[in-house]
Amino acid sequence: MSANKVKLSTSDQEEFDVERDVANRSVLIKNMLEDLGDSDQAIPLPNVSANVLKKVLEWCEHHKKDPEPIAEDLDDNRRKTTEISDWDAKFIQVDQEMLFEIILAANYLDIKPLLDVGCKTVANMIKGKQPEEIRKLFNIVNDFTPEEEAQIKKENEWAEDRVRLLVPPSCTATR
Amino acid sequence: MHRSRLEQLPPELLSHLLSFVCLDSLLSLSATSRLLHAFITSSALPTYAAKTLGARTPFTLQHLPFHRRAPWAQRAQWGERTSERWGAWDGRGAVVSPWTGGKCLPVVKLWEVDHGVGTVLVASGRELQLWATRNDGNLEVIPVVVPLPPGVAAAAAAGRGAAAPRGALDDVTSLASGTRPGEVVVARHSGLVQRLRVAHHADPARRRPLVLEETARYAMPGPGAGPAADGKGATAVQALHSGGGLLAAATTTRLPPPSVSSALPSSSSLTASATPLHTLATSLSSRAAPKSHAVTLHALSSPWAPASAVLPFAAKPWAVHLSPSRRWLAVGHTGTAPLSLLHLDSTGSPTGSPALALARTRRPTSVYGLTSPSPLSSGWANPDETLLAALYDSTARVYDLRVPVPGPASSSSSWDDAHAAADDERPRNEVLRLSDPWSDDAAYALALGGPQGAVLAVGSARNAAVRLFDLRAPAAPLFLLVEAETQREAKARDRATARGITAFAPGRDRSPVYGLAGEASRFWGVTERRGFVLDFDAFPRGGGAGGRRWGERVAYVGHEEGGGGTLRWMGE
Repeated sequence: MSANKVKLSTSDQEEFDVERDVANRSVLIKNMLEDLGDSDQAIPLPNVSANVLKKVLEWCEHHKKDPEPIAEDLDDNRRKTTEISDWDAKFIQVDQEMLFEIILAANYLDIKPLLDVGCKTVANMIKGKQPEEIRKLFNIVNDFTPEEEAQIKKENEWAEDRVRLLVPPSCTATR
Repeated sequence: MHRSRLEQLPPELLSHLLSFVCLDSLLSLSATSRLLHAFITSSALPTYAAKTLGARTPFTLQHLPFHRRAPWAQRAQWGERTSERWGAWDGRGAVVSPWTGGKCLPVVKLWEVDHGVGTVLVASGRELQLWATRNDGNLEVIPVVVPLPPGVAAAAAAGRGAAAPRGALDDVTSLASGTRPGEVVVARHSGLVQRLRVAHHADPARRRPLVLEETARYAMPGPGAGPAADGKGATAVQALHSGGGLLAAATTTRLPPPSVSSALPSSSSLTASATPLHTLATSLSSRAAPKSHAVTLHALSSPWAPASAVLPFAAKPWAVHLSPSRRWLAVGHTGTAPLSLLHLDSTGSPTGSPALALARTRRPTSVYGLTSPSPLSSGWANPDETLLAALYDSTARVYDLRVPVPGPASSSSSWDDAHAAADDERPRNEVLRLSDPWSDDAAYALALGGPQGAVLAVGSARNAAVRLFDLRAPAAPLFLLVEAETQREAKARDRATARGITAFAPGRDRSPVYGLAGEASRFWGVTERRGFVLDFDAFPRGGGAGGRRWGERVAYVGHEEGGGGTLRWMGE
């Protein structure tokens, strides 16, 4: 097997021959390759199925020439934006089942940029929706009692006068 | 039981996903199911609150039931709203207290009066008072009873009160935190230092003041061994700062008249030995009125014991600052190299190496104020590697202490000459230089506050003007500015100025702002006539939206080009 090809084996026993640059987008695989050295053995990926890996590799193929991510320090600043590049936005237009599979696979394979694309997509899906709409969207079962629901609604509102009522009137600042 | 894909995510992954979700979405999501509610209120909202405003609730508000007991949904929204108010410079102002004793040079300091109870301790003349936040969010001015030195007590008993002739000598010049909450070190003009602690807490309902008792009193010794020969009053303390168990004091000692001084070689050799920072201007002034200056270091637990280090200065030291982990001591003084940095060893003694001159100016100037980011809420810089200074030349400067200090610009190479020609070009270790484009009034005081402790307030010399700068506003983050040093990038760095405004403190004094203290949602300040607060807190008061009806509106001028120069009102 050529030195720039890597063999990957999925949970459903399918094998993929992948360019090393592409496979290296996964920190997990990259580290494994460094540890194993040159080997003809397929790298087992027991947590990823073939159809998901195919999708993930499509992303890796497109992003194989991306520069290494810069210092971790920048991370927090970047995280605040939920903007996604055009190509990624198109790539991530999948059904919800696949979206969560990609997120899980990106997490397992340690492909941070892809993980972030998935997370941002979910964040954008939630944006501007009411709780009932979100339940419908993700198939979340409402297990609150009506009282609990009312209490949470109250807590989540920022009503100036009502917040004052949370503050007991007595006691002083300095005891 | 059925769980949605979202709820089935492992916690660390869900937590990562939620870090991309805005506050409104987090709140909606928390109202969908028990599992998500528990996860979001216990983990995502506290994280969100910490990220928007900094790790802690504001110092003087932390004891409020709202900050202690309100649900995270409320506290996160408070953080977001407060942050938004800073972002829009949408503040309110209030005069907290006019000084009863008339004009003075007041001092202001954040002080923990008790564990978890943050207050503002203020000295006006020789009086102390405490500003505290009540549970309804409004402010309270609490008188502080301090045991007075015998001379003052006698004058007060004689009915002379604040107008006593000794008045100025007994004025408080500086305040420093003690070793624990409820303890404070007070220095007076006369060189008298008192360590005080709380004897009785205030009870505003019964009009009982805060009573402090003296646990130590001593006269600051002169730079020589032991107290000055003529006793009290010979050595004045201009500034104190405590940290890491150390107390630093900036002192000036009146020397005997020159005729006597020439007969005392010890004192003149002392002045001569302190020449690395010497300037023509200061040597002239010292000839006119013989004084010697020194910064002394003491153990905070026993400050009356002989100083562990005496550092002579040729010019008057105006400000001292110990780093949070006491790795260095910064001294602001007068001269063309007005900012000295001394590294301290693990015992808190200066290492043998000479003081670093962080700043060099073509004309002599003075550093009047020093501060460093709070270790508790600094999202923008390393507290132990960052120093901020307020200068007489009207600028405020931010230094990155990791960057080597450039040597003096006296070399004869043409490249260096070209550099020296540019007036006071910013050296590499200075990451930001902040000024008000519409005013060159001196900068007298400075403090950090606001979201992530990244808003710098600078007290100017006139019109009770407070310059506010958002240090996160520069085009590139600070650490990039430090590392990037191609010519082009250096130019870009020079253009990168923080977004700022100049606000005019309530009361419309013409006087300087002598002191400032900052926290996550407020700046406290003092002028010669009154104390004031600039408030950006979203805590609801008086039923007004975002506390909008609380206090009074604040006039300000923007620093940006174009719209700058016009007087505007905050929140309008």
